[in-house]
Amino acid sequence: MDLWQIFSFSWLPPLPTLITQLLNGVARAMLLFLISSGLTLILGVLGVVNFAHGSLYMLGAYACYTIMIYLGQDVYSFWLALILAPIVVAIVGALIELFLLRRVYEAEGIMQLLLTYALVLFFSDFVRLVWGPQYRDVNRPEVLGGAVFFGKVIFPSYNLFILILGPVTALILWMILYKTKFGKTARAIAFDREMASALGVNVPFLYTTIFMIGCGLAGLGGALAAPMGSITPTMDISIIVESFVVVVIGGMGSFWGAFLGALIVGVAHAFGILILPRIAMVSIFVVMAVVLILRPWGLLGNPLGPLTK
Amino acid sequence: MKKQGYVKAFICLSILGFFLIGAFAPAEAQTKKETPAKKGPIRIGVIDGYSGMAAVYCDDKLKGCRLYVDEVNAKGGILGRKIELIVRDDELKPDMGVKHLIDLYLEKKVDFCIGGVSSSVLLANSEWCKRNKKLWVAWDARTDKATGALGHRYLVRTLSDTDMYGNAGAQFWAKQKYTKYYTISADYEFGHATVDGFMKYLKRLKPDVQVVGQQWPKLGEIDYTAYITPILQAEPEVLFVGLWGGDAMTLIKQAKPYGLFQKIPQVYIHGSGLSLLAPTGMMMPEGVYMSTNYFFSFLDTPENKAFVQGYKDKYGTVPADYSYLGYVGIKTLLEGIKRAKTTDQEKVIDALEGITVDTPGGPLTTRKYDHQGEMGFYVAITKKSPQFSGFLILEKLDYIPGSRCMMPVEEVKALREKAQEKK
Repeated sequence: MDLWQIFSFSWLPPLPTLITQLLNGVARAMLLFLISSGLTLILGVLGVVNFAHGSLYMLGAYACYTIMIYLGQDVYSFWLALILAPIVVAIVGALIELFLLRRVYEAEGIMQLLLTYALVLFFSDFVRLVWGPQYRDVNRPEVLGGAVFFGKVIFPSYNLFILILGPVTALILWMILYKTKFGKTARAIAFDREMASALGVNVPFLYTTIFMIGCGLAGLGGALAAPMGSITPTMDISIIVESFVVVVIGGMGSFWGAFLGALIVGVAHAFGILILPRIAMVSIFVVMAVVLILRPWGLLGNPLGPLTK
Repeated sequence: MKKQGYVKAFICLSILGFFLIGAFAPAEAQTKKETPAKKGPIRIGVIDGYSGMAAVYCDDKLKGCRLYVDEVNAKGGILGRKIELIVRDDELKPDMGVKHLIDLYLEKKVDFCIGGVSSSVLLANSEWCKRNKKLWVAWDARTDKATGALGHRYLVRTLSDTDMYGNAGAQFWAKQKYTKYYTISADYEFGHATVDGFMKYLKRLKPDVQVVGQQWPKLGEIDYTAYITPILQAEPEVLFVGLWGGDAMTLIKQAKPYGLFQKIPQVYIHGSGLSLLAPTGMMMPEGVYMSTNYFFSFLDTPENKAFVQGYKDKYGTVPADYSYLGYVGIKTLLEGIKRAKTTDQEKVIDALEGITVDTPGGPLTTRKYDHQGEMGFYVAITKKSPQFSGFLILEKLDYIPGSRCMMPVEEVKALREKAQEKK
């Protein structure tokens, strides 16, 4: 009777499986968090519902693919892609903000939705035009290509990498938002835009910067996701719904809410598959529905409205 | 402020102007075309999913189709008339499919329509064609309902449906010694139909088979790692994979670090051939079972060799299974027109009933009763080849001809009658 057997119940899957599944769920959660944090940031500070967030994630993945293919898929090209792809997507984000979004801030909210949705359609065709409809593939760098073993638990190294990168990025972002003047100003704008502007804050500049950071995060998520699976022109659709679920559960505009929401979605999904496969897909929506009924502003959101917290 | 207003107005009006010209120009060109020669080209509308998940497969089909049309046109066409293709994108949406059908048949007045990949689009198109008495030739889209319970005169389907290839796959696996099966397939109509078709026949042929688990990831899932753990834990002997395209590729890539292919020696990807092998490349492990309607190296006939060579010359690669489907679909339709000696819908449908067409994959018959093509099925295993450095090839294990895996006519009749009663 080994250690593993002592801790397992007969009706639950064995402990190694539970641990593996938990790790799977948390790794997925970290990737979701990276993307959703950008979404919630844009929502909190700019008040814009960025439907195009999934498209930016997709652009990040394709950018990573192009960079890695050009430089011959070794370790160095991977790290370079991881740095360059988010920058490229951030620049695209800057262009969108400067030339398109700016014109609709004064208009009704519906205009912003239409604009970001139009961008979704645009990027979908753009990606197809440039890279073609075939699914693309890049390899994980060799050092992250295998798996790690803790006893009977197997966990792919790449997923472990994402698992570590997630909290690290969260920490960096948190420091920027709460420990720098820039972050304080951004939160001030989220709280009260008119007042901040009256106090001399350069709101347009900060809007652009925050939007760029949000897009950069989506691009980073895409670049990380590229070596994980296949890169397809329909990647945007697969991620956007889950990102919104995370943001809604966590609280719109709430940074730690995105972290918590992502954890809930990732782990619920993973255990749903293990224990009740037929309804696994629905499980995250059930959680979202419950949260919306009990706390419509999200778990860590502000009842008075979106606030970067 | 005033100047800005004028500039904006000018821009808006000119854009509007371009749209109006664009909308009216074809109409003008059309009226000019209709008056001269009555015998223009034979015009065939091709409606398929060129955007969306199945785009690669549809591109392959169109390539195969164009190859045949060019061959025919080089020899003077059919009935002395050249073939002209008008290609439309249904975006995998039933309303778009029907919209294009209406436009092509009623506005553009094409002679016939062919195409399809999505089963839901097929059913919508089929319904329209039945009511409007126009023919739809389905060269893809596998729901067995289309020629089964909901089949009718105005639909011809050249490739095997989910029931047929479930039957064919089951015939192969029933002969093997394995009894513990696990299935993973996408949670939508086709994903379920493909598993149900296979399991129905497998259980019939080999009653001691147990399904130890099933997973239903969403179509387009990006992360299969959470699905791999329960599969490994159940320790099945055979993993039945109903996923296709990018989904299958993602699963393979993510399963490798877990050592899935070593732990479960029998992984069976049902219903995919070169169209999956080519993009997956060297990432595909050896020893994976697959099944497909066609593979370029399986037949040594002169017809197949000519097809493979012709495709290579035109496109620079060997034909995929979907290239074959496109080629065979259009060939069947054009042969029907040739034999009927007219483009009259009713006469061509009569000619198509029971027609046998020579194809690179062997003779293909379209069954008279339900208009279902008797396309066969190969079960094969992946293998590296010194000739091809970019992807793995298949080694043939078994071939089940269409006639041996089709639902008997009496069963189809019964299904249709039951469907009629419900109405």
